This record gives sequence, C-alpha cells and structure tokens, in this order.
Amino acid sequence: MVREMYHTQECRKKRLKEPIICERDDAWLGEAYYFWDDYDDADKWGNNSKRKTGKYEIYKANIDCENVLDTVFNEEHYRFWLSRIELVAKKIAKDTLHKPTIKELNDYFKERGDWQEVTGILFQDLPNVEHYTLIEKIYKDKNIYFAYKKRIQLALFDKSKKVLTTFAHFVTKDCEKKEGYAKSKRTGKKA
Amino acid sequence: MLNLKELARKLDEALAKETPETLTKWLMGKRNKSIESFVGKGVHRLFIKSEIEELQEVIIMHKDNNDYCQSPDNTIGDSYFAQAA
Repeated sequence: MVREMYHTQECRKKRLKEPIICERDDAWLGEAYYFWDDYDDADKWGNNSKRKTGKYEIYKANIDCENVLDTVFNEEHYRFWLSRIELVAKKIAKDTLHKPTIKELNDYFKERGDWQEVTGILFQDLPNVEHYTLIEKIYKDKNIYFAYKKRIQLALFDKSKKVLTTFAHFVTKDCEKKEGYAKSKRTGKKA
Repeated sequence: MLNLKELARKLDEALAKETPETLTKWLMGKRNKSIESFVGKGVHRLFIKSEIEELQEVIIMHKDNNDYCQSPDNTIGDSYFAQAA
C-alpha cells in the first residue's frame, strides 16, 4: 500500500530533495524520517516547532508501506507491536532496574532484534487538547476533552527510492505571529 | 509483507542471549551517548571521571575501615567501570 504523507521543515535557502532525518533525542521512535498522515498535523507542527526562519515548508511524499509495521490500522501488527514492547520493556526493567523509553525499545528492536526488514513504523497518539477537537468538553467544569482523533505519524527508517517513491515540495507558509498562533490554538480557527 | 513470526523469532533469540550485564551495558551506553550529545563529549567525560573517582574513594574508605566486602569475581567494580568506559 502506498500512503501519501507530509514532511515538515523550516524554510531553507534551497528546497529539499529528500527528507531530513530527525536525530532529536526526544524523537518518539528514535532516529528516523518523520512524516505526518494528516496535512493539518504537518501544518500545526510547522507553525509550532519549525519557526527558526519565520517560514516553514511542507513536502508531500508517496511511501510504499509494504514493510511498515502499521500499529494504527492493522490489528495484527498493533497486537504484535504491543506484545513485543511489553516483553522487551519487562526484560530491560528487570535486568537493568531502569524503565526503557519508547525510543530505546525501538532501538533495541532494530539493533539487537535485527529488524532490518522493517522499513518504518506507523504510530499515533491521541491529543486531548482544546485546539485539536471540534467537540465540547466532556465535563463542563474540567478541561477534559474526548480524544477521538488519532494524530498519525510514520517513522521511516529507509528512504530508498523503492520505499520513498516520490518526495516534492508542497507548500511554503509563514509562521503565524505568536499572539495569533496562541489564539488559533485556543479557538481552532486561524487568526 | 512483514513476516511477524520471523521478527518475533529474531527478537526472542536476542533476548535469550541477554544477561543483566549485557543489557545494562547497552542501555547505559545509549544514555551516556545521549548525555554526551547534550552536554558535549569533554564535559561528559569529566562527569563520568568524577563519578568513578567518587566510587574509588568509597571503595578505599571501606577498605581502610576493613569492612569492605569484595565479591569473589570483583563484579561490582568491574561492571561499573565497564559501563562508565
């Protein structure tokens, strides 16, 4: 299956010809090329986290997900991933007395488990913040929203032509001014 | 298409080979690398060095007090230094 996904970066002098690897220590699934499933998420990420140059760029890609571990839509893959995470996490916690991070678990799969054939992992989180929902709070007096919308990302480990079949500039946008951005985050509407 | 059985087999095989020492060394290596990338190699080495020196002082203190009980294969000291190296 080929998925159309989005890669966000700050605007640079030269357009990218390929995605940039994320080496941030807090990258959820470790060192990988990250893509958003939903354009709105790619856009929010640009506005929120790619503000260095005042502009951000969104690239559109077609990705062959044949060998992607799909923990979002494929039940078998999800249950397998969950069981492996818990198996390795228990072993690491028992033997080292330290709870591993999700990045460390993923590194373990790749490095020690030799999962070289896995070209990426499709995963999600469920934001329950105001600017991510069109539905009213669950309790009027508490700031709790129902997290109905998956925020889906792909951590891609292999960017060869066989997997990343196309990659092209889609749009360049100005970062919203902080005040306007804060307002749009609150209301869900553009300032 | 991914062969989940094969992935599971490879992972089980890797886990079966692990000992607390190999896993601790691997995990601490990752975390040391991550601190190193944050504070820089030099600062991190100093940090590790001061930790080792502190541990050595504790060991000497215990030895001096004659209440230092060394394990037969010296595992406590060795594994600590192996991780810190």
